[in-house]
Amino acid sequence: MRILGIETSCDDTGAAIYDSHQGLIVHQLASQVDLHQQYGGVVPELAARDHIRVLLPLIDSLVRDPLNDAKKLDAVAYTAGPGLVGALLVGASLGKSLAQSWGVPAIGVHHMEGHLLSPMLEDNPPEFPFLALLVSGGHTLLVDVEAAGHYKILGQSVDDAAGEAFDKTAKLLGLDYPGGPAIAKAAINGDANRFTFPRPMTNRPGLDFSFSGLKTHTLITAQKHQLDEQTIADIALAFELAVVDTLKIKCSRALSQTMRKRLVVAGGVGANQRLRATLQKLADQNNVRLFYPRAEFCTDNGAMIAYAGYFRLTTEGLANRRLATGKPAVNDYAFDVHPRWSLEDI
Amino acid sequence: MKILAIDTATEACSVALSTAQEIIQKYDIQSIGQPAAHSRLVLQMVEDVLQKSNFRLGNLDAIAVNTGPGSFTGVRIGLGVAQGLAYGADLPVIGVCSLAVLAASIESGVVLPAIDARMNQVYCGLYEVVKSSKPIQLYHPVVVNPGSMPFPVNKSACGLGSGWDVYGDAIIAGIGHNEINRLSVRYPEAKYLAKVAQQSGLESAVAPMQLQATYVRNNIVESRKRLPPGTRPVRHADHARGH
Repeated sequence: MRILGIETSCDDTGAAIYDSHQGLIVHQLASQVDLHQQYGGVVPELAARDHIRVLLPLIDSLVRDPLNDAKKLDAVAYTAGPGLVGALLVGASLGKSLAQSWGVPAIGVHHMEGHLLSPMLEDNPPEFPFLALLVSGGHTLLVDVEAAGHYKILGQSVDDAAGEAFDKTAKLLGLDYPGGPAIAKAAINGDANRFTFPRPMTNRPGLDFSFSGLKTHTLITAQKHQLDEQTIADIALAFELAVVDTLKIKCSRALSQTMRKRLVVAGGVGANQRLRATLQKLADQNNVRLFYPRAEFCTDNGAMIAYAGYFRLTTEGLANRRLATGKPAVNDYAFDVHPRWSLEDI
Repeated sequence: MKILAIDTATEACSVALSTAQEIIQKYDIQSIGQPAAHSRLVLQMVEDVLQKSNFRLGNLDAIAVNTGPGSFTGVRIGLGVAQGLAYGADLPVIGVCSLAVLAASIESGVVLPAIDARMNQVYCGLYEVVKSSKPIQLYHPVVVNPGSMPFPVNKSACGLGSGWDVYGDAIIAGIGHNEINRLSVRYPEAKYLAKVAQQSGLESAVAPMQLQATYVRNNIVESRKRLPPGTRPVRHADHARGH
């Protein structure tokens, strides 16, 4: 089966072609970071306008790519939620209609299931069951994945997502957007002994996260000091260490609670090298295997949507279960989107 | 010429299949403010008119679509559907402005179509139809306060569209006379879209990748605070509210 994946849930237009025998064939991403930069955040209407402008040319370039040697694709997967409604509807309307025109099934995919399954695109994919840490600009989730399509949210952020905290901290330190890579770069020259930041919500039981207090703590620290290059590096390091350590503590707790022997980390923050190294150490100590996708599939992308669509369409029981729950079915003519949609409700 | 016409630009959702001999239309009207509901109707309508006419997409010559102005989301649903269907079946697309589609619903005369643009404004333009011919654009589509039409309106003209329902009195006050012939047509319909597309012919068709929306209102972030250059943005939390 060869499947086209379309991602338009926020500010990245992504498309990819995945083949069940050959793996990922081609993929492309058009980022809107420059477009939204001057407004201080994602403007939903501008995001939707950009998606409809670039999506079909992006798909066309993949279909015509010499690497895509198949005459015909067998299915179309598009992100049906969660995300911005106007942005989601671009991918849904184009993807569903293209499938109808080609006479192939279309499937609406859960964006976070895409992230969760993104390590499956790599050479040594994890087997079920596993524990997943999904950390990005919009999400911080710990998910117990018992089997295909069986997800239990163990913990999530009660305020800012981890990636959002990186962005806001970078902004107050005068560093670049997006904040994750900028903070990691500045932290390289930091002195770990100068500041120690709190690890929020780790001194009590539970697996939920909170990052807004850490952000405030960082702000107060920044206000108290002259922000020279060394101080910026020291604060960046203290912040990065606090986030990474907090994520590690919760992962450690979740691993003992679930007894899982595989840990998947995905989402934009999953590309952070310090986080990967720290979780690798945790995994080694606990005889757990760590899995993560390559950096370009940590951020939003079409490849994970193509894979998740393939997974939904071919995993026995999942396609039928969708029909029974009244969520978008594979072969009807509606293309509903779900701006708010829990992983547990797929 | 065999044309499939798709109109989701306003509260109305319609699809028509038009040939030299006949025209078949499916039409539904959504509750105000629910343009996203078109996502449940439009592809079923496409399937219905194709079945009824015994055509497949591959038998058609072109796909026509209402490119706006209207509801931003509705306009994009129409564009996405037209692009997807046309690309998959290797067909060209003919984009038609919603005001021209409204104008095409009259037999002859000068017409001032107005579509409710919210925020106390209307999308409007001025057209002339001569003996059921393709509407001639006398003034290009604009978004304006209903009382300040940027063009003079003759006493013999007629007015139609949802903008007249909401702002009729303000439009009358602005153009300075009450002798305009107000018609009951409120929304564009695919059968008139198909008619304009037939009149425009394949020479006005483009590849689906080249299709563009006619938003008209482009200052959508005017009220937002622009950051000084060099300041960095922060992602919205909207994306996170899914769970």
